[in-house]
Amino acid sequence: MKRYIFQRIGYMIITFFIIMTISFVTMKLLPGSPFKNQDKLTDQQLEIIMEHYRLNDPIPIQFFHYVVDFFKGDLGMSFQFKNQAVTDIILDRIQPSAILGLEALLIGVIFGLILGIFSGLKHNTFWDYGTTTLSVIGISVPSFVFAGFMQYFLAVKLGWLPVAYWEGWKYHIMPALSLSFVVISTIARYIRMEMLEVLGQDYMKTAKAKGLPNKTIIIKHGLKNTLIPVITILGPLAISILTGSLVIEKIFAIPGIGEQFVVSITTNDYPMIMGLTLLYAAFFIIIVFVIDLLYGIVDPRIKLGGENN
Amino acid sequence: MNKDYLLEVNNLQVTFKTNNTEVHAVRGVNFQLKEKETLAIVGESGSGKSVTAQSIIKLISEPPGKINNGSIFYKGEDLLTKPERYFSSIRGKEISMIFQDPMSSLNPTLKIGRQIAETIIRHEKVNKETAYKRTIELLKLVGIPNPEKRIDQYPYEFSGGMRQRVMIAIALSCNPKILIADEPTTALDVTIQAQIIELLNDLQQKLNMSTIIITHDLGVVANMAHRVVVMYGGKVAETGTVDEIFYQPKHPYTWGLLSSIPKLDSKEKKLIAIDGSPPNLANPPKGCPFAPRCPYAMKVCIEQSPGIVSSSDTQKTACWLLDEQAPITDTPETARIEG
Repeated sequence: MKRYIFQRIGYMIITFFIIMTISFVTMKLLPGSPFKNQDKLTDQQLEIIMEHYRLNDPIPIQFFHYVVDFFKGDLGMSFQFKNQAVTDIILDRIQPSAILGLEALLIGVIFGLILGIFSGLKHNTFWDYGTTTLSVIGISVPSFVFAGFMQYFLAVKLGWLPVAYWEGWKYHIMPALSLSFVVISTIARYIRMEMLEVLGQDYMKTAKAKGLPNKTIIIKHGLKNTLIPVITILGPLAISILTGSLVIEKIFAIPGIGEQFVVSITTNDYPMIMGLTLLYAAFFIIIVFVIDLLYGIVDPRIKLGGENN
Repeated sequence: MNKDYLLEVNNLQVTFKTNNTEVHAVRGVNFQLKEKETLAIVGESGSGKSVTAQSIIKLISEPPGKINNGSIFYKGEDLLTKPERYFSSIRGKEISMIFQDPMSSLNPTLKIGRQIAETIIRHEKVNKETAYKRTIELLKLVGIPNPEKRIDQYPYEFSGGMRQRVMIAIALSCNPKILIADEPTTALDVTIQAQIIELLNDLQQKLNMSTIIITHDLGVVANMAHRVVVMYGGKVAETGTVDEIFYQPKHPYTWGLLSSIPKLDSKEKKLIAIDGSPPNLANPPKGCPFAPRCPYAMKVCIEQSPGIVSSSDTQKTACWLLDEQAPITDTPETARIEG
């Protein structure tokens, strides 16, 4: 097990550097320059700035310097914010994004589980059809549409919730909900399917023949087995929350990383783009790793890295 | 309700609803089980034997299944009038069950020890520690070596025969009065089958319980049973003691079953089989269900259900051949068992 974890971490680092290289090169291939738009600069001033940030060097040299700085823990200075290091901006803005993401994931998983179990148990009834319909809507309609609807009805028309900003718990409700719809719907669908499958299994009959109460049969014997495939989709779902939050943060004017990402791309803020890409990449890589570990915990038949008893 | 019997099933009728049709899986089955007795229910696939057994502790899923009629007396009370809550208190405690396929009957994600101990904790008022102590004893009892280590393992770490032993340990964990074994050896290979049968025989004597064994293997019947119920097309064709069924069978279906046992000294090169296939129980025949396959069938067999004829205190046969007006038919040569 230990050996497996170390091996995986080795691969994760390699993956991380491949992503770093590819993002750096493709970013440089983007048209435009970070300073061209600022028309107050003379050609000479522009030249000095470009030289200062080593933007005139060949790309491999620039990348070499970037990697060296990276190992020193320096992701460079932002081009658009004066005297602000990328690391400081990230640390400053990561909190709202992380909280929003976790809230959405939590709401999604909890309600997805409840709805899924419920419609699996009551399958082919009115409740089941209702849940299925809702989850199809939740999966196919993008989160920003929900966001717009909620802003219009809950905030503008009814005035129950604030339209935007990030100042207290009331401000969390709409963005977290709009991000979680996809999670709720996907998890509910998977759980329902799995629940139906598991309910027909022989070991459920064994559990009943033991005289266990229904609740115990479903929770202790059924649920763990339904969760195994659901873990698989948690990764893609966490990623969809991340990408969804890019837009949602913009819509609700939440001072998070997602919003910053969008701005930095439109202004060619190279160090900022790189910093955020690496942050996201690290996050994805870690999520995939954690999910593989979770498999081993939930399903005893899966032995990580060919370990023996 | 007769006081001699521990369990008495009367006129049991079970149906299953599929899309448009209703399958009459069990159509008026009667049998009795005495204390410390082993009763075998024999029949081919689809004869209703498993459904009958599962109905006793209401294990069939409702819907689509439904027990339409009949009574099941256990200790003087009709189980079919009891609420669901009552069933969960006797399942696993008074009447327990083991199933055909030990590979899928154990929960793959829970440790063996826990799967056994949870039954004990559910029915006996004991703490976890005592339950696990008892679990280890049970595993020893069913012949699993190294039980202290094995309780922390998962089903995938056990072979098929070992898993069936675990299932037996679960079934016996609360000293049940009745053990229902639904084809317990069908999914196992032959050498293991013999071990499991031996174990079941051994345990029955040790624990003083009654056993209902469902099987289509007449070898199992000969090794285990005191009495036999032969089922066909959702009905009982013939019942009797194991000697009566093997040496004086009266029903042509029983003859067919006995004829199809391969015999070592037979000059015949081919195995004998019963021609045709079982009736479609979505549309059950009004006469004897075996009539279409029966070489002795008469006109009356197709038109009317046969009455039950007792040829001894213990042997009852549902066949028109035993009617006074029927031609005298003797057991065919192939169905005779040398004894």
